[in-house]
Amino acid sequence: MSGPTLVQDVMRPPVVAPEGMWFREMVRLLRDRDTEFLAIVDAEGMAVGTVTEADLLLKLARRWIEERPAGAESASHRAERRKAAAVTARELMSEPLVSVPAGQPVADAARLMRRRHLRHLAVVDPAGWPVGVVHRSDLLTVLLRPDEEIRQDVDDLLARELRGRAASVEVRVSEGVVLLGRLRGVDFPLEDLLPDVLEVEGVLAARVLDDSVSDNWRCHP
Amino acid sequence: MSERGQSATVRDVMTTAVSTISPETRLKEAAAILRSGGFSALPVVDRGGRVIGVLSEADLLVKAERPAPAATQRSYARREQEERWTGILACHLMSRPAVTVAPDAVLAEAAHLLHRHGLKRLPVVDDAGRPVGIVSRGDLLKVFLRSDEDVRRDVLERVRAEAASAGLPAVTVKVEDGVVTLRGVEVESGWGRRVTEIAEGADGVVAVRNLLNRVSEAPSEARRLAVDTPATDIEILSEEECLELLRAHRIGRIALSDHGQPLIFPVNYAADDRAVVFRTAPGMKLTESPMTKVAFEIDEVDTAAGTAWSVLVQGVAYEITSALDSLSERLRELVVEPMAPGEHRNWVAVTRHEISGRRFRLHPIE
Repeated sequence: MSGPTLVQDVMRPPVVAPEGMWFREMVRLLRDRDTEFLAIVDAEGMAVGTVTEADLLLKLARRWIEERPAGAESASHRAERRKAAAVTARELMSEPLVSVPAGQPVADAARLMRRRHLRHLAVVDPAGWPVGVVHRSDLLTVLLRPDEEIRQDVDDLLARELRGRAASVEVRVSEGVVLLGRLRGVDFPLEDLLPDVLEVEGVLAARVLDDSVSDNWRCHP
Repeated sequence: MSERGQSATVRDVMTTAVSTISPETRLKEAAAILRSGGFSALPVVDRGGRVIGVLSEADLLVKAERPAPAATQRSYARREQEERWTGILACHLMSRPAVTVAPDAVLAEAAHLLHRHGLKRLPVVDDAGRPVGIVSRGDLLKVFLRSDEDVRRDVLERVRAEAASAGLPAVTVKVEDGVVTLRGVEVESGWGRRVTEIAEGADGVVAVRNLLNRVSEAPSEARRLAVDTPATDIEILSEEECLELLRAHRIGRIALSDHGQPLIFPVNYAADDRAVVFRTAPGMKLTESPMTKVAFEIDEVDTAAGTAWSVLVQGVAYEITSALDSLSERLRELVVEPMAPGEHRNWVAVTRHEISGRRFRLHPIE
């Protein structure tokens, strides 16, 4: 196993904008560079915040945002109101910057994105300079890992965990789904291995073949 | 884009080629379609061709996490949640019911739906629920690339129509990078607000600055003033006049608040249409707190002619010493000779949000 896929393996170069940039210039920059994420830098070139398509789009939805009663507004509603009225990058950007180091595994970045409801992460070096950006779609590349590679990793895992008994387990990998089959005479619980199998990169689901729970392998009405 | 005076609809900006999947599509195949097509979400359609859900990157991302959440969250995962962790088909992970939009919806409505549901794309469906297109955030944002001249004509037309039907004088409209400035006289209370709302409704408007001069008299009196006798003792300078004065002078005063303490000092400056620039020594208050709200003022009293004028710029100050954008580069080319001794290596720009000026006759001393 060559180690997990890292952020630096899937990141793209950052598109950087100064904090004084005006709204329309930002829309144009996003379009010209075919991105949906700008790293906003201060005069020293340090990343201080981010502007995404979603931030810019608040401008179009401002009628609904402004109509909300101002009294019991939450902090995020206040931020939206500010963004909907913004003209410059400084007024529009989200801060503080949520970033990830380039050497972090992709799986960590995926977890951070889900927990913080983000679609992108800035990748910064230890000094705070932007070196890249990962889009959510970049992380999905780990799901396209070929079945043969997954199978190799699962075989290695079984050899490690079961030693001599690994040969009595049949492994099938199909479209990222791992099936473990008991050969005759196997008495240990294969289910205990499933959490470890799920940790292998590219595995979408794992099951023991004689598992009686097969409901969620079909669509429910 | 749309005709002038009429708002663009989803149909005008949507992509009509739609890739769809069925509920039984396997996740890996769906991931490959997303990837190769550069999509962020796929509509899931039933056998009748109706959109029943959407499978997005976000839905699939669950599968990219290690350790898999199923292993760590099993104890409190609900059944539906668990299906998402363990599922292998589109139907297990898709979001449903699908949030969709009609082709004749205005762009703002689509933007609102995307925002409220935290989505990036919406399937556009006909009355029967069949997909006719996809509209993305990027598609909607294109409306802001409309040219200033188009935006100006659109705003002007809308405002004129409203003014004509209300029997009120029209306003002048200026547009710079989508930022609309309205000038004229607020002849009736609420008129300024109405005009602002009308201007905001035009496609491509980033912000509206309402610089209508308020007249505090009763409506009928105000109307008479606005139409018949604009000249009073105090003359409100036009934006062009203010800019001309700014360009013609070299010394002004910058005012800022340092933790609540007002400060004011004179600076040599240069001005272009968008900003006032000056140079400071390193360590000055302004460069330590970038993006401070400031006021900048120039004035002159001509006792011989018995007149005086002043121009006030309100905006945000930020350092452009080494900024790389085109505006900063252009501003650094302006010639500014600092008057105070010492090194003045730092450049500060004040982008103007508001500019106003007045000229008045000095009262004779009795």
